[in-house]
Amino acid sequence: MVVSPERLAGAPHPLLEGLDAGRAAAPAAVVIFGASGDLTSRKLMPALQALMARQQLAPGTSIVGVGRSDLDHEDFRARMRRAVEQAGDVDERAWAELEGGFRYVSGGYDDGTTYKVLDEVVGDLDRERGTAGNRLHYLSTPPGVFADVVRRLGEVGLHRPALGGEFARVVIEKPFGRDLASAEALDAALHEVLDEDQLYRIDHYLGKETVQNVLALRFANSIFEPVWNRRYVDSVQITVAESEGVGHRAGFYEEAGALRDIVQNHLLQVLALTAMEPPVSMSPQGIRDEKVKALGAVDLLDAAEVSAEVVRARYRGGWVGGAEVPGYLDEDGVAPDSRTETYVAMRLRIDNWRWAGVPFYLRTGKRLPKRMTEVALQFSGVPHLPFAPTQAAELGPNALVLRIQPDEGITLRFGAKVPGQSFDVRSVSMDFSYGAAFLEEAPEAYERLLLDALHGDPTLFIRTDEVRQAWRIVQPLLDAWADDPAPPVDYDAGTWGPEEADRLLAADGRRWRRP
Amino acid sequence: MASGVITVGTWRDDDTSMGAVLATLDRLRQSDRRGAVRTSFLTLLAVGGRQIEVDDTFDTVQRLGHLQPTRVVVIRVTGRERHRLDARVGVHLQERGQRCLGIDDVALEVAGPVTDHLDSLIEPLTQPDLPVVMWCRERLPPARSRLIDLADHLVVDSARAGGRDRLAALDRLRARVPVSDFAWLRLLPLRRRLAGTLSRAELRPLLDEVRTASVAGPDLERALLAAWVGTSLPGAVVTELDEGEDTSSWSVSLEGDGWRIRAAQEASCIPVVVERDGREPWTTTATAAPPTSEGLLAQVLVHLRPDPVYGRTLAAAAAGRP
Repeated sequence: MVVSPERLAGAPHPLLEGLDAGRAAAPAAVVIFGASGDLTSRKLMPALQALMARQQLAPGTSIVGVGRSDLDHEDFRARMRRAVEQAGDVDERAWAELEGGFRYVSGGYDDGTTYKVLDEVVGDLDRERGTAGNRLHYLSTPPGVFADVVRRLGEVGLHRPALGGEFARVVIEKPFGRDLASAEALDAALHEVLDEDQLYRIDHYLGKETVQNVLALRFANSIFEPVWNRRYVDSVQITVAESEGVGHRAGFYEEAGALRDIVQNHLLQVLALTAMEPPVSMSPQGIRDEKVKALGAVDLLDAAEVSAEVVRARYRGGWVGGAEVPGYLDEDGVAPDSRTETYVAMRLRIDNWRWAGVPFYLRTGKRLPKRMTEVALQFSGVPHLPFAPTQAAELGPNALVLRIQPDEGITLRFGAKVPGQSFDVRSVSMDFSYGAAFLEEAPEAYERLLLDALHGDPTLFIRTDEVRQAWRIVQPLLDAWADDPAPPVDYDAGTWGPEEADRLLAADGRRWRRP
Repeated sequence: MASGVITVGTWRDDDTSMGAVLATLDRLRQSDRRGAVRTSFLTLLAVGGRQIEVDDTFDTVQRLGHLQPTRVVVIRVTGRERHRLDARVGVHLQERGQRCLGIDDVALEVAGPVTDHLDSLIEPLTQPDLPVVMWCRERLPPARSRLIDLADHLVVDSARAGGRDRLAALDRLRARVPVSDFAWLRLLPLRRRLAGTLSRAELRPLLDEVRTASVAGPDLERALLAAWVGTSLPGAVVTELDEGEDTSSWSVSLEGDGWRIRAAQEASCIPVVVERDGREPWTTTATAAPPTSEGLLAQVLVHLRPDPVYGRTLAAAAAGRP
């Protein structure tokens, strides 16, 4: 049987054994649309340099910027150099590898000429730098142009690898649509040009080591999974808290709000990892199939339930971290009659065998007291407490807390005897710090995700059916709020949210954790 | 110490006892009220013969930066006559985010009959449940050494510990404990470049057509490379080329009908040349500075796992088979 070179490319071979070569990418032209933007400078370019410094990018890997700014190749190279300098130390060896591979194509995303020039530029790179016909298109653009860019890539054939190449992939940044209908329309447009396995929908939260560690904790240990269900878990709280306000993103945030910006993606992704069943394998399909099933089991709220199960709020002025901060309506770029929420708290139920009856409390907000993300499983009490009420007065419920950021780690809260003559029991915490156990620095989320995209591993990217399931959960909230003329309730900046959110849990006899 | 490291206290005593050493470690650790957490990393045990090795070991470990082992113990045998134990202890904190991590170092100089029972000195200094990594810098530990049984992982540099002549002894040690060899790790950039080049779509099929391979470099590196190629590509005839003893360069060439690929580790770069009949030769060069001791040690400490390719290669090289 004759095996084509294309089939053999990327396949293991004897000399790769033991080299961790799975993490070394094939040479490629990395084409960044929106290259003059903030994300490229702050995240993408430093990540690419770090990957090259660790020799995880092949020599010859080249970076092509596409944008409306009027730059030439040299301007772009200098701008990227500054970006790397601002992000930290420049690794001169890595830079020397990348330096000759910067190109820039100036033009509109809706202009066919832009793509013809781009086609010539990447063709030249294939010949000059050995990028081997491989392309990774990174769409760091406003989401409104995703479909147009992809359509035009298709028109000039850049949606396929050049002759002899192994891959052409497209990475798109959230948001993937504004609602269920627009997400489905976007997917349909993308799929007219690309196969699903060419699409890499990025949620940088999934690139965080500690988010991935949820899978390791659950499925590599025998002591957690047996209690990870309705029989032992009383409730689950997932918190994504930000201390920052909207900053200079008011234009974007006014359109998105906390629900689209955080809940539809980050929060529901963390929920899926927390609630999913064990996958058959850690393959991309194995993990993503189980995530889709978990999201598919979320009980959808109807219009009447939204007001009872969901709290939306926005911050007033207040104090955060010792500084006085303005309220949302006083931020630059925010409409005086804005109804955009900066905080969402909600109670969800997952209708499946594992989680029936266990409430999942989700909350996210801006201008909360500190930046942190955690998943907390609160366990049911013991069937019979053989202590006098006074002896166990300070005993709280057992809890397992997965701290995703910052100070990544795990806390197990349980009762212990207070030293002394009396038999008093009090809750104590056993603390595991990820940083203390593994002194190795974790790669930045974008490093991991860019390398995965170059390598063709979609595990940490969001599949089309995950996007649809997440919008399906969020859509009733969007519909209800669109019909509700009332503004969000207020909370003071620097607090953990409005009283309404506390009442949401109090109605169940519970309260929010103080992270 | 490395940046961000605060020394809580130091202590030294000549002709002392292990009881005093352990009590001092506890006392110094408890004297600090900053609530350092013990890292869950490892105990590094370095065995040296000369004072300069001891000093260099601490220097190297300090340059590990954030990869500081939980406890570093360096032990040096100074004589075999009268029993004597000289000890030096340091207790440090390393700031990491909002936490302080506790780090200890202990240097022991021993003489007398206890040198046949070094494990009795080291065992009390190991951290519960944490791996013990034993680093033998200049020579292989004697096969009878009880320290080997204490170690979960052995780190050596076969280039400094006897070279090719000691590979058979090293292979026997590997049967008792997983081994990492700096000499093997120094070959990694070349192996990675060669393998990466042959992963390219247009070159990958050539791997099935390799007829001959030749390796060049210093004696030990040549032996390991020849064994690696020979065991990875069993159909190829492997030749060792003795091109002198330039200790910083080595190369591998693979050849088939009408083509040749050569990758060479040079002082600070790795050029790869691809020659095929009827085509222009094609060269790419990647920068690759020689790794430092701390770089190699960090590589080992981060991933403590047996390397089956090294095992296979070492066995073949020890048996004199390419």
